[in-house]
Amino acid sequence: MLKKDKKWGIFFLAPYTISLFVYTIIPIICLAYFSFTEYNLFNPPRFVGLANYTDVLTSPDTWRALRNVGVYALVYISLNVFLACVLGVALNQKLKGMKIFRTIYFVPSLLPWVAVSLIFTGLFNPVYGIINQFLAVLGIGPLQFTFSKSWVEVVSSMAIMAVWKGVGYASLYVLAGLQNISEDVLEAASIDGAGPVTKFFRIIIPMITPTIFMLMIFGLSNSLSVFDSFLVMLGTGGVTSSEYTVMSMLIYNNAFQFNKIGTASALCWVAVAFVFVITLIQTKTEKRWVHYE
Amino acid sequence: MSKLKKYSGKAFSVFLLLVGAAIMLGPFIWTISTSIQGPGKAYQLPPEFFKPPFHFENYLRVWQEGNFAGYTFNSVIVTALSIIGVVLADSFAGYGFAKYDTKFSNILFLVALATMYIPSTILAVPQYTMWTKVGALDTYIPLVLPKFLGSIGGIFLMRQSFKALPNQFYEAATLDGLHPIGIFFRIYLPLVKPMLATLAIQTFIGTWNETFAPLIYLTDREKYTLSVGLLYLRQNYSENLELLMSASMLTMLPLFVVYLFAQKYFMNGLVSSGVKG
Repeated sequence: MLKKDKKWGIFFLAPYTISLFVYTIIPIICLAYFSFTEYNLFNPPRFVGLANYTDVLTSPDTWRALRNVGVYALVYISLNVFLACVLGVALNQKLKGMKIFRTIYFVPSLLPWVAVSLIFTGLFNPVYGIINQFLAVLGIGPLQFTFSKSWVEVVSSMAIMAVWKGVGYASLYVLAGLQNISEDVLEAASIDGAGPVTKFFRIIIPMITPTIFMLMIFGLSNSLSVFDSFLVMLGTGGVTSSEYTVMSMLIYNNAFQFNKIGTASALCWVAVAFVFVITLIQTKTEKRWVHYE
Repeated sequence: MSKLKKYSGKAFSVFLLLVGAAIMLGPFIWTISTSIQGPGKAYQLPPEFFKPPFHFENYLRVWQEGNFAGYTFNSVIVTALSIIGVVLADSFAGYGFAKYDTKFSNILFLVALATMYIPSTILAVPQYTMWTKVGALDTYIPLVLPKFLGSIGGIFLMRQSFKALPNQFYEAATLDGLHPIGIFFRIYLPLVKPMLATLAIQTFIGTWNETFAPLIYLTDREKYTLSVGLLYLRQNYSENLELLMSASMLTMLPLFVVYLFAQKYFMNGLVSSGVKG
């Protein structure tokens, strides 16, 4: 690029620089400040030291929310990654009509969470829902899904819905990853007598570990920000029973329903710390099982 | 023998895909069937599928009484403005990062990448207090204005596309006396049209489906976008599953249509966002 034109670089980057400072960096600083204050948007913030953090960390709601997010993430990530791998391998066959399958699996990921959750409130209905009608034919159930009294069942059902919505999208990443595996390797394995299951677990999975790792990282960030579906399924006014709450719901209730900005800000930092710790564990253990070529 | 194995493998894959496809399509078929049922029909045993009489007026009720006409209009406005904003701002900044390699731009880019890891729900708290202070609550300004300044995801896509184009164009155009702004608009921008389409579609889906921001910023029911309108309908007609399903169909329809017509641009975004890069 011509040297004398360098000042034009600043011109092109000016709007984004403003955005980055005003809409991201200053808000982060404010969030840190608010977390040490009592602030309801109308009166000026009042400094309260660590009170918000002790409140938040001693509140059972916070721990329930973290527990729910944790279980949701566990169910969602493990099911989503496993099914995406199976689906990716199946979609990798060179057959006519594969494009139609890809479309069918991909489309749910485009849809709004609110609509998908509304549909699943109907499907999950313990008495009239068609899922239980099918399970009855197989001699299973009836299951309570999101209408259950048990939080594990509620949270797992929410995660299963998310898998239905997202697995097609995830499988496209697997499909892309599979393009790096040469046919020769699989051919050689077949000659050595490896069956399809052995090939799947011993060759295909180890060779797409970078893709799997990426899907896990995405899955974690999706799990932490899960909000719309819980809002639709579990509560109407936004104030849900704390038994089934998640972090973003707690933040939403405190900040936007009760105007407790200080408490909400402290919750935000707890959420950030939670992601940080899990991401740290993920990246520390990455070397043990992710193989880059 | 090995040939037989190969075919059985293929057959198994197809079987798996068919079962999966049924699981993926089932909910949609149920939704369509429920959306044209009479009141209360969704709560009866055994369940009925596509059994006349059909109540297509459910759609009309949601459109008129449920004000989905208004919500759709609002969503179209917000989405259209967002697309214009994102396409302009992200290509502007992406070009700045790609073609002007300065110390400032390098540092800015690193800082920007670091902010990608902050969940948007968390930033919403201080951003909301900011919009309260400037009196922008219950307007579309908080939903649209930030998009006119750029966001890192799209900027990254655009930066990659501009980087792939040779710098010689710039030098040649300068020799011909073209202004740096002219070089951007008349030479480089037309060359990245496919990526602009991808960005526009991603923005369309993101904004159309957005719930959190409209939920916290909009209080006047007349200003609601579709997803918040759906939430409102759920609060007030929770027993009328047939209306909820018609409304869901109305909300999802534009997404199906856009996907049908612009499929290749969806995959374009997926591949270039670093699947294999």
